[in-house]
Amino acid sequence: MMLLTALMVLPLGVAASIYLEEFAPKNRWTDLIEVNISNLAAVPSIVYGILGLAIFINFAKFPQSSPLVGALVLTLMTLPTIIIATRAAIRAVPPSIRDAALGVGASKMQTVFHHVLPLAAPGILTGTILGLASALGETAPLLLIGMVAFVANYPAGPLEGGMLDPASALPVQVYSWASRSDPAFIERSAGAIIVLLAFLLVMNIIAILLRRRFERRW
Amino acid sequence: MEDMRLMERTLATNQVKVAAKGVDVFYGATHAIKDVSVDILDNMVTAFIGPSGCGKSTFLRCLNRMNDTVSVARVTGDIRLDGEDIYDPRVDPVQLRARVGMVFQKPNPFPKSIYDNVAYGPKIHGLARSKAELDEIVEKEAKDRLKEPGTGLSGGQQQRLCIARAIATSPEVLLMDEPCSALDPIATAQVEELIDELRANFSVVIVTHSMQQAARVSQRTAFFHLGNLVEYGETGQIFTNPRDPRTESYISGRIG
Repeated sequence: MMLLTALMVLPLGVAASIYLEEFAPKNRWTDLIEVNISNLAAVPSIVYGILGLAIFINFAKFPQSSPLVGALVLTLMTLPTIIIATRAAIRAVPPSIRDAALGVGASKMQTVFHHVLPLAAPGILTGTILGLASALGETAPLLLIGMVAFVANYPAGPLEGGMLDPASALPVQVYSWASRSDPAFIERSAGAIIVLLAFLLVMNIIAILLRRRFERRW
Repeated sequence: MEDMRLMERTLATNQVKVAAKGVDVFYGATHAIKDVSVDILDNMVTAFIGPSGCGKSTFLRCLNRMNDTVSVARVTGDIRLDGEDIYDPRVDPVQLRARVGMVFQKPNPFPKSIYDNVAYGPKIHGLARSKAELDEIVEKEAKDRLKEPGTGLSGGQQQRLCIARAIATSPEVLLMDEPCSALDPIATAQVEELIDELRANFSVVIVTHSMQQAARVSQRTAFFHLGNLVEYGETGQIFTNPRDPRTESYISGRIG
């Protein structure tokens, strides 16, 4: 589910940021969009859950508690964060590099894709991974789209249509296990929490390593 | 094709390369350049001098339409490169910038190897059909340390790398926006020497706020003041026998 989120949110977020930062004219429309994006980043996640419930399940009739809907909701939720991080990374590329590329006769597209984007890549990657990490621990929106249900069967693998089967997510699992009075579940929820934390730690380490790897000074 | 261009270029020696007539530039409400007309000759170094903010860089950036990238800037008037109107809507500014190269105030090599820096222009314009041809173009401009990053060079070397990068696309006109203002005297001397060599193949326009530099490298000088072109002529004449009192007071250090 998180992989699907990443696959959807990264191209969408980066494309939107490039457009807003490099190509969009500065007018009232783009100002409005900018304000909206910053506001969306601050909207409580449960609101995205309601939105997902209304649009993806009630309107588009996607199956309840499926990872597909979960991924869509988390995509919507992380998109503003990623757009903001990406735009900051793009803006941090010195204008002299753009001038240099344009000065040797590169088109706007070539300038952005050959020079600006590679230089902004470490910032974009870090922003994306941190955004995904926060989505990873998100419970509230998933509760609303029904990913709390007790899952009796193993969901099918993602390639065999498992994206539409009912499933649960780790943080939701922790939530439901922790509220059981049954002592057997105390250990289980502790275990789930450890797995979740380890996963987060790994993601953050990857973010740091990628940053180190791609970082360039000028 | 290449031969034709070369021949035309030789024939056009010391003829008008870029002709600007009645050029006005506005930055929003600011009238930055007021009715400037200049003929820039081929195979000569033309210097634009004047106090800061007088519009010399702005005018320079009109010549390869770099002002297009500034959304509030508006350019009117007529600028012709070899008789062709460069502000014609059919002219692609990207193609134009391949013909009119530019070197900036601050050395700005791409954070890549020296080879990649020089090869970038020829690569995007398809000037080389094979890797060998590309190598040949690069070797012409840069000799050694090709694998090292361009950003690891000293300031003067970086600026010369930027010049190499600009001429690797074999432009016809080379615009230089205060290329030595960030360099020490030795690096400046090296760049000036290079400019003098470049004159054989290009028409060079250099913006500078150092009058000594203008006197050293240029054959013709234009003096800008508050967005107006005050005086334009042979460098010797401008510096020894200026016609306009404003030029005189600038070169003698009373204004600017």
